[in-house]
Amino acid sequence: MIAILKIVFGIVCVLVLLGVCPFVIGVLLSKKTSHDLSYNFIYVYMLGLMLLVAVSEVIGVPLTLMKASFSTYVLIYSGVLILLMLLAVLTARQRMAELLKITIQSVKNADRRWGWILLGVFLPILLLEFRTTYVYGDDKVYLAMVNDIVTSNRLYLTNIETGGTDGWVIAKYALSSYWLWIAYLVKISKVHVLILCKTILPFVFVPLGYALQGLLASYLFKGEQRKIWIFMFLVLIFTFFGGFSTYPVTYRFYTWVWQSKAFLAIIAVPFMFLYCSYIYEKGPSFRDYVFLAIMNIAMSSTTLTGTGLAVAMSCVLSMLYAVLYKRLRIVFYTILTCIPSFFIMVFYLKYAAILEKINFYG
Amino acid sequence: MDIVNFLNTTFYRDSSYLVLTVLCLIWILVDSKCSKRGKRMAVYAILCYFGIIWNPIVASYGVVFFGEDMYAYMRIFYLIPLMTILAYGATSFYTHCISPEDERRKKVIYMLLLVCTIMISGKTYGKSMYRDIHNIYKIDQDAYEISNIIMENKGDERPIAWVPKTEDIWYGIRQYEGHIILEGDSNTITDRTELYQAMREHEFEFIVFPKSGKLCAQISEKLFLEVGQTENYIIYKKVES
Repeated sequence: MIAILKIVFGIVCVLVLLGVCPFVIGVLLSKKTSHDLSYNFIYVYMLGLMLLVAVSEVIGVPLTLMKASFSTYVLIYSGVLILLMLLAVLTARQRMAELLKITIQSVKNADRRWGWILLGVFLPILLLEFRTTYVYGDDKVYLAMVNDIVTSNRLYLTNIETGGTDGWVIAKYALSSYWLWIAYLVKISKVHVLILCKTILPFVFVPLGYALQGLLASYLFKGEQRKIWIFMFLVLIFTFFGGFSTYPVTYRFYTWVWQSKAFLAIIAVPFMFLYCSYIYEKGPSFRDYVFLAIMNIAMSSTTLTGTGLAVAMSCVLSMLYAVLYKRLRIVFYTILTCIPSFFIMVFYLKYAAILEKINFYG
Repeated sequence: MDIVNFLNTTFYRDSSYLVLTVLCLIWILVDSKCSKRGKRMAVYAILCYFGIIWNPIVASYGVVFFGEDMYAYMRIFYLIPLMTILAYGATSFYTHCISPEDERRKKVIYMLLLVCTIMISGKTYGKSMYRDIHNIYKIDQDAYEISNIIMENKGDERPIAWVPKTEDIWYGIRQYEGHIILEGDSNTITDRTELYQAMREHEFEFIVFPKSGKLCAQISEKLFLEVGQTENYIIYKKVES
């Protein structure tokens, strides 16, 4: 009974951390824009989620290099989260209520055939609750790493093979805070990392991944409901039958949440694509560029691949729209937003030398 | 060009998704009813394919950034919103051929043809990608029970154990119980001589052997006490001298 109550408590914590917090913080970020999408629940939610992940990177990387404890990370991250939530509640609660009202109305007005899409999204998750993806290679490393962070209260300084103490951290872990963020969810929810990642988080990330596809469809088809429905149905089919190699973004990725590259491929990259396309089409404001820089940091927090992909995607899109709309300054300002990513790339290339300089090895 | 060939064949394997991608991109660009946003997405994808992914100069520098690991460099494909392009192209094609006023039979046939094309072109994950679960943590049941038995009988806060270094056992324990330090592979110990040598050279509290092994029958109770069993393994705790 106590075990069940513990899991229920954990689920509630996850719902607050991954349900309420991103939405509330997203409302704070979106309130000053005049974009159509700023009244879309998923768009607002994603703004908040990207900021949460970016904040984790900004806090986590320096603390890792300072060999701080995990408790310090939890304390600082929680403090920032609470501050942002308070700010949002104090300054944007009217907009929050308005957005919730619009969302509830949209759900009420939705066609019945959307039930089939929801079935296609949730049924595989339910079936996979009674199976598990085959653990190999990196999977066991990342889950063990998160478990070690929570158990040892150290940031990465645990030998993943043995569980003993390590005196060093490789660059790809030190410069990407995704596993710290997952460890934070484990710590706050008090649910074991294996249960959180393999049982609970699929119910958050799989629907979110498909919701992002729906948001892209809404953007591409300009709100034509019939086409969006057909698109979503076909996305489900393409995803299920995309298992021809382990590299395409397919159903295995959707349930692979402990792999940061899965979060990158399913959530971060599609949203960045949409965000860049949208702001470049409308004509970006200063705030849009600031958030693009935040997106760069969020992408870097998943993996070092994310750092490169953020730069490549934003630069290619900016060049495309600069040529189409004859706004060459888009490219210049986009390059400026990539400064955080350039900084991380340089840090990665000079990692050993920097660690020596800061006397990381004591 | 070797890098580009490798990337393409490893990513798409023997599927026809590349053919579908090309067809969708062409359709999006030529269909007058496709929105400008869709056409921009298609142009973006083409720029990424030819400018970055399939560009041998960019690829050769990109791989360096990934520590020369070409398999890690496969993530460059995330730049392409592949499923979005495929679904958008297929939707545009379907809505071009079928209008809302068409009869239901025609709609169903066209959709079935599309779905069958996708199914034939791709592949689902096989049974080997998913396994049955035996506990709420979704790890090997032996690993789960070994961890619990060690933690129930531990003396130190962080017990040191020698366990079989198999993927299921070793890494199952590592993922489940972070307090246990796994110092050695008990599969390397095949007789008493090797066991005594391990005891002299290493400090450990627990050792786990498969039930099917001959060593279990040879272990002296003066040295090791059996503290638990799983379906396939026996867990021993070193007796304090």
